[in-house]
Amino acid sequence: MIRLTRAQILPIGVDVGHDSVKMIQLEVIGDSLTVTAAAKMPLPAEVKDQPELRIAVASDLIRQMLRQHPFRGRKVVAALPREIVHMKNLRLPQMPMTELPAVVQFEARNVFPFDTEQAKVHSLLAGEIRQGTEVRQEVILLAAKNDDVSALIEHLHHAGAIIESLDVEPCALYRSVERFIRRREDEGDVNVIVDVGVRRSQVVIGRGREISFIKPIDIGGWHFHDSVSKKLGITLEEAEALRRRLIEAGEPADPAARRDPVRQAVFDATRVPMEELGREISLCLRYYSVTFRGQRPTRLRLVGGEASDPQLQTLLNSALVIPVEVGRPLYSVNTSKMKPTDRRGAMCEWALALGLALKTTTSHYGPRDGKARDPAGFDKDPLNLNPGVTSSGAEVVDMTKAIRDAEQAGVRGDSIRAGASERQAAVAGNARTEPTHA
Amino acid sequence: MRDLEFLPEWYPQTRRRRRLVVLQGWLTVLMVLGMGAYLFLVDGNIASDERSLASLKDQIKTTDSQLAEMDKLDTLRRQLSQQTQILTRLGFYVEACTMVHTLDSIMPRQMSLIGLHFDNEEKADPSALVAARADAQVDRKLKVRLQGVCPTDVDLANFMTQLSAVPFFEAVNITYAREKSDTNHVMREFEVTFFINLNGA
Repeated sequence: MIRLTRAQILPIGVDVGHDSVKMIQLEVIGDSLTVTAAAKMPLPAEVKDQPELRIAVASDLIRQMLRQHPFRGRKVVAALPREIVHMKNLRLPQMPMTELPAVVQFEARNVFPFDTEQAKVHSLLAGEIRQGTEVRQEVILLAAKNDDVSALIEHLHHAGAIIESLDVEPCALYRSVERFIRRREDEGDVNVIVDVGVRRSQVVIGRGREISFIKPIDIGGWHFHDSVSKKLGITLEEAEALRRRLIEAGEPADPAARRDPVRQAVFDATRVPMEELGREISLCLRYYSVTFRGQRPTRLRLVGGEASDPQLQTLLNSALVIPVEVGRPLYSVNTSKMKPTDRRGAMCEWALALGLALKTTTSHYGPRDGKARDPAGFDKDPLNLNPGVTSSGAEVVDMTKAIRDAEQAGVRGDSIRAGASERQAAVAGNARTEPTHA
Repeated sequence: MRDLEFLPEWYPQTRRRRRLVVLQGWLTVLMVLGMGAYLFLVDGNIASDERSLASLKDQIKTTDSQLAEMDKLDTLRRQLSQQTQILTRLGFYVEACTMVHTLDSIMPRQMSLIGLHFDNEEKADPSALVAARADAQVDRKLKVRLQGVCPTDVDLANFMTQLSAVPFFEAVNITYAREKSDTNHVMREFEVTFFINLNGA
C-alpha cells in the first residue's frame, strides 16, 4: 500500500527489568503510532539472584535482540536503573522560576550523600503546596552519579546501541500516559500510575502533563513469590511458575474453581505483601491529597509485570478509595507487528518501554479509549485532607515520614474510610469463607 | 511534561567526533584512492607519451635521412638547373652524324642525298622590355636543308611522310622538286627544309 503521510521512526525504548529486557520501537504515521518492532527476552535465572550482574547480562540480550528483530537503526532510549537514581523532595519558598535552578543546585549539595559535582542532578517542579499560611514549592530532585551513568553507557555501548537519551523510570512511565493527553480539559486530570515490578514498585502521580509525586516502594513480585515459596515450601522458581500459571488462567468464574486449595493457598500467601503494597499506595494517595490542592485522582492505573495479577487488582481495589484498573499502555498504538505472544492481555508490562520510546517525540496522540468528560466528576473529592506542616526556608522532605504524618494528621474523611473499609471487609469476608493453608 | 536528560554531554560530543573521524577516514580513503587513480592515469599517460616520443624520434630519424637524401637531390637539382640554364643559353647540341643516320633510316633505298646544310637560326624578341632583362630568351632553331634525287615522286612523297612523322622535325617543307636527266636517266631532284627546335627546357 502506498503511504501518503510521512513516517517517522522513533528510537528504541529499552526497559531493562529485573526479570526480562523489553525493547519496543514506534513509528509515527501521521497522527497515530505503530509498533515497528518489539522484543522481550527473559534474563537468565542466575542473574535474578545477582542483580549487580543484571545490566551486563542485559547488554548481551540487547545485542541479540537488535540482531534478531527488525528494529530500524540502533538508537535507543534507556532508563537509569532505579538503584543508581537518588531521589529527594525539597520544599522551597516561592521564588521566580528563573532563580529556581540555581537554588535547586545549591540545595542539592546538602541533600545528597555524595558530591553533586560528580553527579547529574535534575529537578521536577511538583507543584505548589500550602504549609499553614505559607505557600511553598515542592521540588523533586533526581540525581545519578557520573560513574554509575558512565558504567551504564559502557554496557549499552557494548551492546551495539547508540544512546539517544537516558531517562528515569518515573518520567518514562508517566510519559506513556501524558503523550495521550490532547484535550485541554484532560490537562487538569490527576493520573495515578503504579508500576509493580519484580523487585519493587513505584507510585507516580501527576496532574495533566506534569509529575507531582514519585514514591518507590520496596515491594514487588519477588516478595509475592517469596511468600508463596515460604507458605507452600517450594522453591522461588516453582513459586514464580505457579503464580504465572494462576495469573494466566485468570480469575475463574466458577465458585468451585475458586475454592481450589492451591489457588487459595497462593492467595493467602500473597495477601500480606499485597495488602502492605496497598497500604503504601493508599498512604501515597493520602499524602498527595493532603499536600497538593486541586483535583483529586479518580482512578489508579496498574502497570508493570505484576499488574496483570487479578488478585492484586482485587486487593488493591479493596484497599484503596479509588478504583484500580489495569493500564493498557499500548491500547492506542497499532500493535499488529508485534508477536501474538506479546500481544496477550493488557500488555501492561510495556508501559516503561513505551514511555522511553516516546521520549524523543513531543507530539501528542489521540487515545482510543478517550471518553467525554463527566462534569459531575470534578466535584468528587474522595480525599479532602488538610496539611498542617509549617516551616521556613528550604526543607528536605522525608517522604516516608511525610506520608505517615499526613495519614496521622490529616485523615478525616470518614466516608472515604468507610468506603475503603467496606471493600476490605468484603475481600476479608471472601477470604474467610475459603480454607487457608496457614 | 519536562523531560529529564541524564545522558552526559560528552556522549553526544564523542558520537559527533567519532562520526567526524569516520567521515574524515572515509574522505582520506577516497582521497588516497583518487590520488592512486590519478597517479595510475598519469603513469599511463607518461608511458603513452614516452611511446609517442620514441615514435616521433624514429620519425625524425627517418625524416633526417630523407632530408639528407633531399639535400643530395637538391644539389643535383641545382646542378641540373645550372645545366638547364646553360642549355637554355646555348641551345641543344645536335650531332650531324646522328642527323645523317636518322635521315638515312627514313630515306627510301632509291633516294640519294646530294647536299645537306645545317644552319643555326636565332631570333631575339625585338621588344626593348624583354631585351632589358638579363635572362632574355632567344629562340634557337637548327635549319636543315637537304637536296637529293629519287626515281619518282612517289619516293619523294614517302620520304616526306617519314620526315613529318619524326617528332622533333618541325615545318617539313619541299622547297622544290623538278625533273633532272643525267646520261639518259630521268630522275626527280628536290630540296626539303625542316627545323629542329634547339631551345632548352
